[in-house]
Amino acid sequence: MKFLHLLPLALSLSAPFAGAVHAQDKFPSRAVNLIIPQPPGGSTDFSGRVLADGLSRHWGVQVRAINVPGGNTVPAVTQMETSRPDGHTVLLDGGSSSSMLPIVMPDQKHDLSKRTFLAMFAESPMIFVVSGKSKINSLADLVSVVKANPENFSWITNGGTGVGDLAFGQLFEAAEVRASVTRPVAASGGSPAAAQVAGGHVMAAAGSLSSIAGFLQSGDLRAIAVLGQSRLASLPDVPTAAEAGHDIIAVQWGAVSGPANMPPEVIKEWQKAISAVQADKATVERLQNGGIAMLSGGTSAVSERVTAETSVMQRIFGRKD
Amino acid sequence: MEIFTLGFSQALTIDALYYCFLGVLVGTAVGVLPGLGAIAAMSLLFPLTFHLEPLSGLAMLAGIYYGAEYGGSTASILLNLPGTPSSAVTAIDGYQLNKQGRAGVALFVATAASFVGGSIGIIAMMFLSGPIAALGLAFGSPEYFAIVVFGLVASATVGSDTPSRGLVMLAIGVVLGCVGIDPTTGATRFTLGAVELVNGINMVALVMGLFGIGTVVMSAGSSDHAQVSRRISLRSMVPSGDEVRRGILPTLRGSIAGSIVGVLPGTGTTMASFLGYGIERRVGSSKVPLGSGAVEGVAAPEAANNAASQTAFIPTLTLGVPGSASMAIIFGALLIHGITPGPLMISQRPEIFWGLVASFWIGNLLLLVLNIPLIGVWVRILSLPYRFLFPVVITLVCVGTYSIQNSAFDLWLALFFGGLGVILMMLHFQPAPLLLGFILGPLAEVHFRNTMSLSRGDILGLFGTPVATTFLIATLVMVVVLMVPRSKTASSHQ
Repeated sequence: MKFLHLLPLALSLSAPFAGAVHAQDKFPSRAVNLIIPQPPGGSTDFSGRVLADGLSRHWGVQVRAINVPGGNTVPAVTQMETSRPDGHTVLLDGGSSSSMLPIVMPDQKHDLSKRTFLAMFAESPMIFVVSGKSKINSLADLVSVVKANPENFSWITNGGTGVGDLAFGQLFEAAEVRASVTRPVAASGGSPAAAQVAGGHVMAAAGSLSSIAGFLQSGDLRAIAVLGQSRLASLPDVPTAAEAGHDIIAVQWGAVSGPANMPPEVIKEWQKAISAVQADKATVERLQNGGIAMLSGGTSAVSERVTAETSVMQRIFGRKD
Repeated sequence: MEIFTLGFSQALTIDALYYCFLGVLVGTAVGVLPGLGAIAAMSLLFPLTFHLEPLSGLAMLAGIYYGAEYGGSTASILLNLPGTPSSAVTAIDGYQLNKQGRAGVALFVATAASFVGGSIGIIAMMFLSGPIAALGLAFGSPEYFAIVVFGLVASATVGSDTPSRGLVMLAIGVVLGCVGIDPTTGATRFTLGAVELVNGINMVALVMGLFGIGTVVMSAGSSDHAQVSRRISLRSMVPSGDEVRRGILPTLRGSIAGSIVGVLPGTGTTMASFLGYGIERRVGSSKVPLGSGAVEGVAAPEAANNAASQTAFIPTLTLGVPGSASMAIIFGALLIHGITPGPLMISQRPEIFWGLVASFWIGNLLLLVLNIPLIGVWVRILSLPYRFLFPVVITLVCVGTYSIQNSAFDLWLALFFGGLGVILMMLHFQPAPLLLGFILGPLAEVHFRNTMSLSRGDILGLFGTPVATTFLIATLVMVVVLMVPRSKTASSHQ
């Protein structure tokens, strides 16, 4: 009977009480809060809930996925930064809550150098897509179309500073045109964006695999380039931007971060737990199904990613045009 | 038909039936109780679906979603408190019927219209998924702008006897909708420096404040305590033959309008119910004026929001385009199990698609049982004496508002809108058009600006396509029709 599957849930709900009897110094000694800076639904929430589920089973302690959306991630980041650095409250970190913050919210003071980056978790690269009926067949075509006629080029913006805007910012850089002369069209998420391009209303978008997969199947969308380090297993014929001759990187990544001054043994326990979740086949498969790949790496990997992304951000969005 | 050969055999397993029932039960409960909403319940139960058979998990999540649309009308009718944002408009006539001692009839009509609306939505899903999905793709920003303006004008005077008052409320709603991030440039505006307002005013805080807290305070303070029917007997639910006849056309019109609205991303069930009511206001020929306890005013919005809650699955499943946060959760649950929603889903995973459709039929039948023979259970919960019920309602409103974003700021916001609601109601302004402006204003703005961006500032870009032009002309015609009878009544007063 499948009802038995409710058992782990019931157990995990009772875990916080069981945890109270453990010694105080052992981590985790009670329920853990994973703050997700996005609303329910959507790929960040999705990966956060998969991670929370994996961690719950690894530790036998309830790991709560808590959505604190809005405010360009500032409320979520603030909640994490002001919590006790004992590892029981962490943030599902990503570009929008780290490297993009100084650009989007310049008057907010969040010291990234003090944040405890625990470990990388997962990533999904953006993919440039055009309509299936479009004459654009490659990244080179896309660049030349933009270059030849920037005033006619319509593209999907996520409101100025999203990861999609980062992708197009680099594309415009490659085509040597200014973004302000093009025709940006706002869409409220990856899936509506894909529909706008598939319907032929907008020329191009940068989306994650999960939001474009349906239209790739039907032929309404054509994938032009993967904006990550390597090709995707599910799109073996689509080259990376680097292979196509342009160094465009736009990746939605997820990591786990905590407040400043976390004790080393808690950091180690977190890194061990995330590695264990990443080694779990069922979890890997769940994420893969959502177009998200596991990404390993500890503290230095996260901070390197943040540093690299910050410099691209400053270059693309920092200048005034 | 694959639904019979494949669908029901999947959906009628003990496992799938159990989770479908669990879903519609939870859905009805969060719908009935003001403050608690489907999204919170769905995201809480989302991880449970990891460990279930795909169909069972989906049937449960979907059941919560459409079950809440059934439950939402109950509190609207009995307490003038919408259980869900989409049933806010049902309160207008539903509560009047209750005051006239016809609560049972209102509850019956709401459930029957919900069932018809849901059924028409499912039928659309079974037979029209392909063409309807194509319709969604054919809509670009000019079309969306035209249809949103159409919706805005069609429902501009919802819930107000004096259109000018309705328009004032609508305008305030549009202004409130501007708070937050500029959709095109990403700049923040009208946030008064509050980080919590950067992504705009939380709709649940607004709805729960205006309608929930506002209504509770007004009812507690008013001397003529509206009689909540303490007991709804099955006999009192039987409508008269005349009421049945009057309910049929509004139900059908609402179902069709709702089915169309449900397919469009970003619109949702709230716009569907407002549009259903708005259309009834324009084309209906009710003997009892809308707003004074007409069954039409209950039937049309309830049919519309349930139809929309079913057709919302069409773009999610057949295009891979979830139109709302609830649909994004369903989308995620499909992905978890390796099912890619999209044009090939019906052919690649027919057992899931048709199983889900079959579970919708089963779920809607279960909801009929939960909401007619068992309505007494829900009524008893809501018919506690006010001195017990209202503190409970306020608590639920706070819990529900807080749980959306885990934000204490939203509680202050709800309190603020509660105060605003009280003031508006004392001045005889209806808050319903405010909510409509708040929802549709930002949609109109983003699609207007997108259209302008695409046409490089040429205003004629709005008439760029036949669909957009048709809707804009229909809107103009409606304005003219609106104006003519009013100028007649105006002249007759002179």
